[in-house]
Amino acid sequence: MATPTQWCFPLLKVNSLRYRLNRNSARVRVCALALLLPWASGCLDQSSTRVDDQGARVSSYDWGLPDSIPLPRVPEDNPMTEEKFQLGRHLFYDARLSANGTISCSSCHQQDKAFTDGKVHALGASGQPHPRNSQALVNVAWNNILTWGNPSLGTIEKQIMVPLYGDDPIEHGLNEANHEQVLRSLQAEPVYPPLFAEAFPDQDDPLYSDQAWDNIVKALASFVRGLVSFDSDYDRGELSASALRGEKLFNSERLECFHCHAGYNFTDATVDRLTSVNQLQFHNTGLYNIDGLGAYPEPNTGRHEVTGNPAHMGQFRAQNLRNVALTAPYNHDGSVATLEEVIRNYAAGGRVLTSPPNAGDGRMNPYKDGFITSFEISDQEIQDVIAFLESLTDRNFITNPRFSNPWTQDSEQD
Amino acid sequence: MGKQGIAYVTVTGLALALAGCGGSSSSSSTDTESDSATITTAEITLPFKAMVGSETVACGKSYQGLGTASSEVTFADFRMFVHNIRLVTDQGEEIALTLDAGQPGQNADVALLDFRDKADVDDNGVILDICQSGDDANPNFKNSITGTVALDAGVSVSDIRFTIGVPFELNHQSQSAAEEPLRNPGLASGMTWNWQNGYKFMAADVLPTGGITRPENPDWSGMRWNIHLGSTGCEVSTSDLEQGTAPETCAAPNRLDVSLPLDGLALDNLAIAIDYAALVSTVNLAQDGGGSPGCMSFAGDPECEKIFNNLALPFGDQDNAGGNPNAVVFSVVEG
Repeated sequence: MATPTQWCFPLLKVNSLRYRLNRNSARVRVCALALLLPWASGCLDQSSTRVDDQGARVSSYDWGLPDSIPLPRVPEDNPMTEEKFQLGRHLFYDARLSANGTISCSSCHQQDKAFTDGKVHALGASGQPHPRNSQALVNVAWNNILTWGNPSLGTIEKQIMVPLYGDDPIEHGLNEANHEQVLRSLQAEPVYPPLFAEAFPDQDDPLYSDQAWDNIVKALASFVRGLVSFDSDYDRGELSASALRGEKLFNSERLECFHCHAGYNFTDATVDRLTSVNQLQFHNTGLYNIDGLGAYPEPNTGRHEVTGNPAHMGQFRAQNLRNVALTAPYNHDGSVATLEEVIRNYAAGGRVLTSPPNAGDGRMNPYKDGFITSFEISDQEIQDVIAFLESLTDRNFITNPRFSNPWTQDSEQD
Repeated sequence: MGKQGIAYVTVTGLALALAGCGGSSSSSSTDTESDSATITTAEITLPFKAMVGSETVACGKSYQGLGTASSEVTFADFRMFVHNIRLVTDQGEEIALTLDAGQPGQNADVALLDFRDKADVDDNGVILDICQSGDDANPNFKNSITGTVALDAGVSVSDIRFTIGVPFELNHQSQSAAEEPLRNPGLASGMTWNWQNGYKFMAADVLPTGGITRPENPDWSGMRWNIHLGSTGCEVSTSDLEQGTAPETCAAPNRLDVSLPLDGLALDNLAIAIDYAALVSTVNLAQDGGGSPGCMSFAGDPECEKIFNNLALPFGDQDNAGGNPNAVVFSVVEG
């Protein structure tokens, strides 16, 4: 056991983070927040003088993060462990977790494509196309919004129930008439009993008890939460001359990219253990305007689909741009093929579609975000911005055996 | 029991014993010697009847003449969550029914009525299908709610009230760890509404013969005309994300409070009927105007205007107070 002094020693690093926050006048809120955070309790118990470090760097799980990145928030009832991560990894790659044994999480979330699938629309277990483009799974642990446009899902655990059990569209296709069979097929796999036992050591029978499905969801969430990518050329400071020019353009007031694609994850939908003000942000980027009144084609109306608020029409989450060069096609519906087209749409201040079925002038969308105006940009500058975005590609992330399919012999890891 | 409501006369000690007796198929009370006792705790089993006009809802059976296009349908789903059951005295006092948490399909807070009578169950007891195939009894079938109620002696009950839905504080919690009947996978499978982060309060889904079309889109066709009632617009708020993960409010809660006069029927001789024919009497079951087929409670869903009016639930800027007097969806009938 560590002594209190040793226990708190790593927290000294936190002070630099805290002081940075102090310069932003966030100290009062940060200190108040600390009282709410369970991660702080270890030091609260042992040292009453360190109440405002928030445990931002404290975890028994090795997140493998650079020092500059604060830890993500993790639900109190599902703390990260390596054992849950490994169980979740097996489940993530297991097609038995679907109605007919055809779909695993990895069907639409493939490691070599930063856990997306390269398709415009993926097909679910019953062959139904998904109206949205498959999400990349990159640093999801830091997202405060977990899908393209749904403001009601607060945790990965809740989000996972959507692909598993959703019926509109059907993805994995689990339902009341097949979940028992699916669980039995998992119970019949000899790899699982020890993995479940290690992941849930406090339970007598974690694969057979009525907690089995809750355990499956928690393990899957732990694996997804552990998909961490902070090892790109950009992170190492190895940018080409073109990428450096692109970075300046990205952060310029001319292009305005950085407002929504903000911070270390290049999205304003980011929350971590140091976040003192956390606000859900969605943006209409003028992709559609099919009725001249701002409408996006159903069912992809974004935040509006959940809230029904007309002002939320076409609002989607700003995507994390890490590994974005690997995740084509782009936008919520996969309707934009390349990064160059994405940039040209923004340069135009929206997208103009001249042919049916979704013709309309997105530039004139009344719900368009204020930062989507328009800007002049040369062909060379577009290539420079793309070079910068490509510098966010993390080759180690897409080849890391930790994240690979554990069921195939050629991906032995650890 | 008289036709003018129900009067309980009882002994307190006996009444407490009654609360735990269970298994009764109708209301029960004690009426014995003493004149000093004032309250009885009676166990009540409240039957619900899913009807199509005068016919009982059954799986595999066809029903004709429904909606504005006189459609023929079979049922794919018919379930609803009920909570907050109250008896109302002739003095206007509400007396809560305490749900018996030991009964299948209900806990202390909420019950899940499941009107699908048939299922396909294999030799190991594994459910392969519910309602759309199979001739076995659906093991989750449930058409009554059991609880206890404490009534003053001599009180007359004139009305019954209940709320269709899941209480807000339970509607946005972890479904995989929830207590039955809210657990998914479990009894709530198929009743969850994950993209809105909650449960379907009521699901009444039919398969119209000949399918469903969209007048403005000849390429579209559908099989299943759904009514899914549930809370919409449930955004996680800023404070939730700092402290937890559940939505703080929903723009449209859509919990349906139903209040029905007993019309003189005794508590042990009545049932609550829900009439699907009345519910869909003003819509065309062969067509869909957009969104998901049928009414999914979403603010822009065209079919919901009429369905919500028939339920007397507010929808968008319609307050629908009083509902549609020609569509009697809920009623108290003889048990």
